[in-house]
Amino acid sequence: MNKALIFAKRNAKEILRDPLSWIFCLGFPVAMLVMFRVISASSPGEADLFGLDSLAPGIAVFSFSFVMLYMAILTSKDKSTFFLIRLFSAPMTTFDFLLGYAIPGLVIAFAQVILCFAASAAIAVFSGQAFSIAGYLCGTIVLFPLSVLFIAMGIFFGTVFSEKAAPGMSSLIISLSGMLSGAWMPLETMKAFGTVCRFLPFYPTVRMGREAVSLWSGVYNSFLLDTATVLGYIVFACFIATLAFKSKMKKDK
Amino acid sequence: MFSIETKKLTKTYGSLKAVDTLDLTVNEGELFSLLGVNGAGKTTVIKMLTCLSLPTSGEAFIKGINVINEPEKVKSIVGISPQETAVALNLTVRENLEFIAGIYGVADPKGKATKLIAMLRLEEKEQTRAAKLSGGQQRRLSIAMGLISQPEVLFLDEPTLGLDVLARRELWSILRALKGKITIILTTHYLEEAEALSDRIGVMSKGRLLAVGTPGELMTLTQKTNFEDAFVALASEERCQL
Repeated sequence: MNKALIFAKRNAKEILRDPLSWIFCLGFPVAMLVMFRVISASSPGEADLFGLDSLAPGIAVFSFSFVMLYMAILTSKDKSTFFLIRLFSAPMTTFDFLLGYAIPGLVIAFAQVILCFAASAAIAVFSGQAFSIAGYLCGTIVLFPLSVLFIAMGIFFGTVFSEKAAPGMSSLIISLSGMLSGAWMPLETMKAFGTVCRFLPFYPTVRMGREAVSLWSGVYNSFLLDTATVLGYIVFACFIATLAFKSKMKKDK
Repeated sequence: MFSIETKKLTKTYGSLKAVDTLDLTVNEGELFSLLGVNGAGKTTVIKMLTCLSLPTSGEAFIKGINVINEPEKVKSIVGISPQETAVALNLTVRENLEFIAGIYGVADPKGKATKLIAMLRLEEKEQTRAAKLSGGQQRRLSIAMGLISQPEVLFLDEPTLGLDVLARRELWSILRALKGKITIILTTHYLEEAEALSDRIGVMSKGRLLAVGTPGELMTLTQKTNFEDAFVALASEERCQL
């Protein structure tokens, strides 16, 4: 555990010393929240979709995909240098490596959720809208652990793909996450497409956040099904990330 | 007990024998150089001895510990400075050293880092990120990272590759200072480097160890008056035994 924490500290420094990571991981989600509120203010008919309680969980989940991108960049970059070879010759286990990569991702994801809901609360106060502190707290508690899905995907892409291909694959998932999560699209009204999205990980994740924000007041009534779907994807993503990294460690360097 | 002992150590990649039945012993505190042309198998030997690559057959022991059966124990007593510079580019010199010290659980990591920074003459760059160091400075940092875990056996894979003459001579003096204190295995293409630093030299070709001895012994064996001629004679001749 101690080695994982020491490795995590190094990884956090690697990510946070890139100024772009601050912009993409923390600045971009807040900017999107503000932008969609501005759009909403200009289109009163779409007020429900761009309502803060609906938008904030969607943006929070979307922001996790940038953590995935940075996890993929870090892992693939390490893999392409002899630095990781040095660490493979050190007394570190697969668990030390994976936890060491995941911890900074979790910290950033936590900051993202807090920031999204804090920004949403600030906008609500500024524009005179109602919001529930309890709802936002529940949203934070429900959404934060779900970031593990994106972190595991990032580690998997970084382990399996090259330094050039891993960010590309992550960008594809970022786009898919934006479109298929219903963060800013009313998927409930898109029959066949919406049904498919219900069985992919992104939409159920956003819905879980929205239900938590509404304090389970019956917006979707699908919390258990969504939980099962997302947990299934989390377990699968963690499994393949571990498998891929373990095989990388065992492979001849 | 030998510091390093290999028995019929072999590594094959498909039909290619990268290392062929290597029998080698290295004494404690010895600086042993492995010489050979490209593809001779030097780096593969180092990878097997540092648990980065699993031998196809044969056995290898570091301080009596089997590298195949007990890799975790071996990893805790060896240090490596790989062929390419292996540093965390966004960490400073000090952060790199303290990071590795932490991974190996070294007591007083700050003190040890200070000592190595002075020893490797990196004081002025202590707070500089590794990405901004020159090639020579990165090499020195890489070696310092191999040393901070206080290894009993240190593997240096072409540590002076690409360095200018002054930087190379600087590294030589550092390696001389370490001689006798820890066992060092050095691979290099620079014959004068091996001759100047090594207690003994092993010459490899096509995965086989052709000869082992002091530079003088190798010259006597090949009846040559300089080490370069002796190496060329060995690398292009049959297996010799001393």
